[in-house]
Amino acid sequence: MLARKHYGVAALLALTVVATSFSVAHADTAKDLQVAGRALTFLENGPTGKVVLGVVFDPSKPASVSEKNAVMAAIGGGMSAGAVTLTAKPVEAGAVGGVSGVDALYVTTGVNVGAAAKAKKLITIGSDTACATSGACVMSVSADPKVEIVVNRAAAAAVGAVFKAAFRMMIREV
Amino acid sequence: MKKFLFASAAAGLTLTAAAARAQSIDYGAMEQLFNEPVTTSATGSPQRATEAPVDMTIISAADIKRSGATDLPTVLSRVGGLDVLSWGASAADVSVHGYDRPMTPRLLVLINGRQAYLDHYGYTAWATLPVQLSEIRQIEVVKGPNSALFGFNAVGGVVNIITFDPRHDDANTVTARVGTSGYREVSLVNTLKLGERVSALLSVGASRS
Repeated sequence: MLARKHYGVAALLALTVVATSFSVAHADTAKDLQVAGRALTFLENGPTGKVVLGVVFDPSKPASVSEKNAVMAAIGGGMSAGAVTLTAKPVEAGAVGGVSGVDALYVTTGVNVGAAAKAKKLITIGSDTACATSGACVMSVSADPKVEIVVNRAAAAAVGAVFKAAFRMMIREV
Repeated sequence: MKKFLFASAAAGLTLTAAAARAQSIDYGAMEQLFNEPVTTSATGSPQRATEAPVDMTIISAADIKRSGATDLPTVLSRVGGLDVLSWGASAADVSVHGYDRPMTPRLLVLINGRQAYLDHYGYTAWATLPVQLSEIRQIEVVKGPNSALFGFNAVGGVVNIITFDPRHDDANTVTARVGTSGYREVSLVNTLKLGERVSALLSVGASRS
């Protein structure tokens, strides 16, 4: 009887841990997206109103699919971020070359669509700093523990993205 | 008993066109993006408060509202490291880290990056600064010399008063206060956007005690 109770408590604790880690990951994704949306408003002639974010994922990579799901869940029917309202549209990595109806691409971790995005002149945003430092993304954003934004000058120039001077003074450019 | 009366009135209408303001960053958008206050008083360039390479305090509009203060010297007197010497009705001298004295020339006071310290008199007339407390977005207090950037007055420190920018902010406030000793105050602050290129900040106020 006592052993059964212990199993019950252990199962409950495990469920709590899983639920907590999922909500933390979800919250972090939402914060990153907030930063991404607000950063877009610092583009010269940047977007206002509704912005469609193409969420680029690789279906063969579970981590990428999981991140895509988290992004889609965080944005839901629309996420207000400063002067813009983000909406999301899933885009498979192989389909970026033919994508339409998106204003920017949010690239999940481990996916590289730099060349295709440059050809389409689309700004790419990733949550992984390495994405921007390697040139695969125009910008990387992270909100925790402190807001960090990295912009790749060459990648930005390749898609014709020009950020406002004050913004550039407050972020890291590589 | 002879009653001392002091009355002040300030009225201003600032029309803002492109590049008309000394400091023209969008403080609100930057603050929301980085989740912390931003400043231009440390190095002259916009920076996040946590990355400013000087000892500084940023007093937010919410801090001012919560303080219940009715004038700038009272707001500043609650900042650690600042000394406020009151010597008359709404008249005071403010210094950083001591050595305060009447007509102190060692603190540079700016409003939106423009000098409010009176060179020809050698002091800052706090009571007649053309700002209402309710139009202040934040007060950036640099506690220590910053003369390399701002000149000789900044030998003790810098107080940069940043007001709401009508191009980016929507600040519409009516304030009425009454207090002891016959204190009365009324003020109105209103931001107006007149198209893409022109905006205005209307600020009117009067007080009596």
